[in-house]
Formats: sequence, structure tokens, C-alpha cells
Amino acid sequence: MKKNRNDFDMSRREFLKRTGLVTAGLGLGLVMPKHPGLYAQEAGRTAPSSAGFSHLAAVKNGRPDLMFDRGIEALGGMGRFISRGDIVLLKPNASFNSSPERGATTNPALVRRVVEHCYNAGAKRVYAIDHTLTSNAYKNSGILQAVKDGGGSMVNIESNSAYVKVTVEGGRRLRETEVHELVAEADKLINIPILKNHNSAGISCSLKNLMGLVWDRSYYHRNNLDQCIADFPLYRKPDLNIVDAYYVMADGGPRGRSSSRILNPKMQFLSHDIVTADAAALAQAKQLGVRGTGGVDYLDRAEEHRLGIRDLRTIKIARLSV
Amino acid sequence: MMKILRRIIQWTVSAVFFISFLSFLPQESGGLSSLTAKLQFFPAVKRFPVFVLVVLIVTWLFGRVYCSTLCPLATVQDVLAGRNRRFSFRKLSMLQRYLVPLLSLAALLAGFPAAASLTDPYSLSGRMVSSINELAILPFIDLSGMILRSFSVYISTFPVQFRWITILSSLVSLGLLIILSRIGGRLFCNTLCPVGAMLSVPSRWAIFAHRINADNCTACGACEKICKAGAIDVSAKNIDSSKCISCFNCSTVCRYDALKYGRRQNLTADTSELQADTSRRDFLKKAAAGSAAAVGIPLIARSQGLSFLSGQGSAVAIPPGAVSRSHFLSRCTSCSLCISRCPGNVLQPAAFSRYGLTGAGVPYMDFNRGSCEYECHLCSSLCPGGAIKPLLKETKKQVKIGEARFIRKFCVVETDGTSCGACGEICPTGAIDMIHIGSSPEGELEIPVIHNQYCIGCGACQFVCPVKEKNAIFVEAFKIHGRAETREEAPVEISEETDSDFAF
Repeated sequence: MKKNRNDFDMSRREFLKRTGLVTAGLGLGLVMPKHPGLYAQEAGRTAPSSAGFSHLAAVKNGRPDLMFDRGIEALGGMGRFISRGDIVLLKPNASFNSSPERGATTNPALVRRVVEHCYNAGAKRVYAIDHTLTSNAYKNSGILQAVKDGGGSMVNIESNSAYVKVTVEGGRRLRETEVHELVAEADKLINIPILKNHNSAGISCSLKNLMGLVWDRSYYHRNNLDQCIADFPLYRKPDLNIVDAYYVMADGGPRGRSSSRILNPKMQFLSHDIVTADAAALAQAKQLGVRGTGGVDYLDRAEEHRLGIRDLRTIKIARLSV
Repeated sequence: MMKILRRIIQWTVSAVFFISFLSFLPQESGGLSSLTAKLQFFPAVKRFPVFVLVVLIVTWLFGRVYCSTLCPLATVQDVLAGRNRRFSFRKLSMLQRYLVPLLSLAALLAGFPAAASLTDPYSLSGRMVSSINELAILPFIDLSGMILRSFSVYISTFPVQFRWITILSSLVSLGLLIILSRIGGRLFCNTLCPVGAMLSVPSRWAIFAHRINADNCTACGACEKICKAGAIDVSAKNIDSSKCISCFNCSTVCRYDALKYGRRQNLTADTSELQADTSRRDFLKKAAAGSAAAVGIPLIARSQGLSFLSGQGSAVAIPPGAVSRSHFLSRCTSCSLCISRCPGNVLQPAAFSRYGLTGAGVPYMDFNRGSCEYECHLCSSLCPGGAIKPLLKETKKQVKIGEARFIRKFCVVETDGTSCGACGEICPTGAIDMIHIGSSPEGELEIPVIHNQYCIGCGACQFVCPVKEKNAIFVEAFKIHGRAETREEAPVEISEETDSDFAF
């Protein structure tokens, strides 16, 4: 569906080196079982304990990276979510060939900071992935560079050869789908959506962002978009959701038009609970006057699946200002 | 010395040429790719007469150096002929040498370049390299990616696809080239190639050429055996400079200092062959008749509506810059460079139904396989024949190659009562708005409304439409391209709302 022809996330020299490795590894790779490290970590995939910590951290008035520093601190630090030796997969929104201030893609400064926090918490490797809608989106969104600067690597998707079929237990419309093998195998999944208007989903945020993890996006559109969006987390919920609301596209989303209204509330919402994160984002979007906040059906569906807590009055919230 | 220089240039140009067809190259490398493509003679005949003139003059001065350095098919033939082959002088009649090339040229000038490109060395090489890319290189990368993944290294792998028309035509050409190069080295260059035929004319009178010094020559025959063009006749101690491709093999092999490249003493043309050919008049007659047939049959077919020959005549989507169907078809030599490099995977080679027999291999846009990337204008910058004219990115964004049509009764929102919005989400120009039409038990329902004044026909909506059986939204292609309006109601403004409060 998309082609990031340019987004080789490694240097040419490194590529050549690795290509050389292939030849050497050819014989070896065929006789060896799959890299055991990936599976050895599976046991470590546990939900972070929420005892004592805020359920939601809401931060405002700062640069995206600084707001993250404050927010994650309030949630108990990155060490609460990342264990030593973890393979971490980030899911920013890098879907459009669009610069950060257009509010269509996650702020690169935030993405970079998240990568750095992951490594500081002892992550072994950090990858980022998005099945984008236009080519060159990784590069032009600035996210490719941000991930690289943080020391992570961006996984290119040109074909589905690295995708594996998975079942969605309890899914109403999405019962099985193909995800990149990193989605299936990574120890931790961190969701970094941007809050924006979306012409068919109402608003796009944490739940909608996970759609970029599957190969066949058109299945969602064919089989009740809202239900599929709500079904996917039954397969895998992110360990942490970081909602970028620094720039917010108020209309014309998800791609944005030249005439789109771009707001600048300078906010960020963090929660391990994907429903809470979206509920907070939706409430804020309503207050900001973002279009489409009336028709966010997938949040209702997610609540039906008991994916998380929607009622913000019942949870502990850390309200912070940088 | 000259041979080494020739080899360096030949292999460098060929290598760049080969690489420039690899489908996964970054778009930014388009400049280098277009350079090697635009140095090609045949596509330039209609686009760039100055370049053609320069090559003709250079050939008149130095012989057919073009044929041994810039032509990518030269390298292909050298590889196919193998090492240490022995050749011999080959006498060719005018008919053998010029009939096919003249037909090709006639077809090119008459507006059937794709048919002419069956013997155009550039386009032919292009299709062959594209096929190698698809059949060998992409599968290799896919395999490498698979192996590297088991070491937790993730490289880009690409969908492997087979464009059978390109592969078929490459296989036919390859078979022909193997036979010809095995029989007699560069037989192709001197019997079928239109560029070779055109350059052989000034080369006959070349000022700098290879010549035999009869006093030193022992008639050992070493030069004749190494001459892949079959241009050296040792028994007559003569070199046919119209056939010579200036590869400098002979002057390197001569041990008696009898064969040298240099200024010719007497500037009279070597016309031994012309005089020997008694049926010259006959040849001209046949060539004229052949050319008339080559041009006439498709023209008649077109006027008579014989669709199997000239295509269905209905509009086929062609890339921005192609201006109109007639412009495009009269320039495209189907080299497949744009097809190979299209990042949207929307350019595909036509089989016979779209443009007819004479347009096989010419690209068309298949919106069920991809869409024209809004930010990309790569094909327009690559095209060596001017079939796709160069466009600035901003201009390209307004070129209207067709318009989207929406058939509500096929739309998934209508048939299933579920939300979708795939087309509205992807539309790059804001030509699609989603309007609320009510709600169902499944949720709120919105369907697309198309503002055709903004639609450029990029096909993104058709490509992502999940109704695959019969597109609920599709592009109706224009035979002549138009211009779309830009949807720009207000400049972007970022409201500086600092210190707003949390909503919860």
C-alpha cells in the first residue's frame, strides 16, 4: 500500500556490511532455528502494575520532549514499562508525507525522546513502524531521522513478506489479521499517536493509530472500520500510550488540507490504558473545537470489549504543567 | 590505451544504466538515471535534434564510438558473445544492413515508436534490465530480508511482481541477441539496429578511423578474428569503417604495427561495398515499400478502427506530463524506465488491448495496483523520449489526468451499512468530503462527495477502495489532460493557544 523507497534506515556502508552478512549467514541461517532471543523475552510481557501511580498523566505548556519527561516521571518513570533487555516497538503516526507542524504526524522531537527513554531504561533494541499511506512519509514526517537520532531503527514496509497471520480472540469483525513479525514478537509496544480530526473515524488517536500495525488496512474499511479499530487491541494492547497533542489538526484530517485549521494546545496525555488515553484526548478535542468529536464510535466499541476505563472521574490523574 | 579508455567508459555507462533501472532506488537519484537515459540516441531522435546532430558529427569525426561506449546493448552483446570468440569478415548486402533499421526509423517518425523500439538498443536494454530486476534482484532482496530477519535485522523488501509483457519481450530479444551474437558478434548492430544504421553513414566517411598499413601487414588475420563487427577483410587488407564500432580491439591485437587508429590519409569514402552492391536501386525500392507498409498498416488500422492493431481508442490513464494520448503514443519507446521506478507502482506495461499491437509495453496507469503519488514527479523527469514531459512538482500537482466517479450503490457504506471513509482519508487534493447520511446499528454513516474541480485523477481513492469486485469509486481517464483547481480557502494559521486548560 505504501512505499518508503527512500527510507533506508541504515547507511549505505552498513547496508553493504549487512548484505555481506547475508551471504555468510545463508548457510548458517538455514540450519539455525530462529533467533532465540526474541522468544526468550516473551515471558517478560506483563502489564505494568498501576498501584500508587496515576492512571493518566496530562501535561501542558512545554515542548513535546520536555512534556514527555514530566509525564513519564509522573507515571513512575520508563523503568515501570520497559525491562532490561526488552525489544521495544514504537508505533508513531508517520502515515503522511507531511511536516510536524501540519499536525498529521507525531512530533519527531517526542518520538526521539521516547526512544532515548527506552534505551535509558535498558531496552536492548528499539524499532519504530507504521504502515503509511504515502511514500516518503517516514522521511518527510521527520520521524525517520528522530528514531535514528535516538539510536533506534525504523522498519520499512514495502511488502508483506515480514508479516505473520495472528488471531484476534474475541474480535467481532476483525478475527484474524496480518501484522509485522515485530508486532508479534516485540516485548513491549509503545503507541505514540497524534490527536487529530479524522473524516471517517471522527478523531484519530491511540486506538485508530494501531491500524498502522496491520498489513491489510482495506479489510478495516470493508468490515466496519469502527469495530475493527476496537477489535485490534484484543490481540495486543500497547504497554504505554503517549498522545501527542502539541499540534492538533482540527479539520480536514487525517491527511490535512492546505486549508486545515491547526491548533497548538501544547499538550500530551500518557496512560498505559488505551481507552483512558483516548477518552482524555476526546474530551480535550471537544473543548478545542476539533471536528468529528461527536462520532467516535470505536471508543464505545472498545468500552464494550472492556479494554480500559473511559470514565475520567473514577481514575487518578496527574495534571502537570511544564 | 584507447581500448582501456573505451572499456572504462563503456562499463561505467552500462553500470549506471543498469542501476538506474532498479526499482527500489531513492527518488532523489532520478537525476543520474535520467542522464544516462537522455544520452540515448533513439529516443532523442524526436525529442532533441541537437543531441542527435552532435552524435552524428562525433561519428563523422571519430567513427561509431557511440556504439562501443554509450550504447547499453553493446555491453549486453559483448557479454553474450563470450570471451575469446573468433569472428570473420562478413559481407552484408544493403538489404540486409538497412531494411529493418529503415522500417524502425519510419515507424518512429510516423508515430509508432513502441513498434520501432523492438530494435532500438536503448529501449530493448531497458526492458531487459527491468526484467532482471523483477526476476532476480527483487527476489534476492526478499530472500536476504528473510534471512536477516532471523538475526533481528530488518531491511526493506519489495513486492515481487511479474510484468509478463516486458518479460516476454525481453526473452524474445534475448533469444535473438544470443543467436546473432553467437553467429557474428555485433551482427545486431549492423543488420537490425536503427542507431547503428544511422551512424554507419557518417562513419563511412569518418576522419579518424582504423586503417591497415598494407606495407606492414602480414595478413596474419589476428585482427579479422577479433573484430566482432566483422568489418575487417584481411584478404583485401581493408576495413569497412561503416561497420566498425571503434572498439579498438584490432589495433590492440596487431603485432606488426600495421593496424592503427588515426587520421585517414585520403578522405575518400570506402565505397567498395556500395559499388559491389549492384542491386542498390532494387534495395531502395524494397526499403521504401517496406517503410510504407510499416507506417501504412497501423495508420489504416487506426482509421478503420481495427482495435487489435491500434488499440481500443478509449481513454487510458497516462501519467501527468504525457499531455495527451496521441502525444504520448507518438513519443514513448516503451523502455520501461518509468514503470520500473514508479514509487506508486501505478505505471504498468500495457499488453495489446489498451494501445493495440503497436503499443505493447507502453505504460498505462493501473489504479487497482497503485496510485500516482501526489508528491512525486519522477517519471516526468526520467523520460528520455519526451513522451512524459518534464513537470515541476507544483505544476504536476494540478495536472488533471482524469476524474473520480462515485457509484453510491456499490459503496460499502450503502451495501453493508458500515463506516469506511478510505477514499476521503487518502485523497491528497481535498476533492473528497465525507458527508453524514444517517446512522445504522453499526454506527454513524458517511459517504464521499467528490468536488471534481479539485480532482486530479491520481487514483488513490480507487486504489484504497475496499470494494474490489467493482470499484465504488474509480478514475475516468482523460484523453487530453487538463488542469485542476487547488482547494485553498485560507492560509494555514497556527493559533497560539497557550495555557489552555485541561478538559477533565
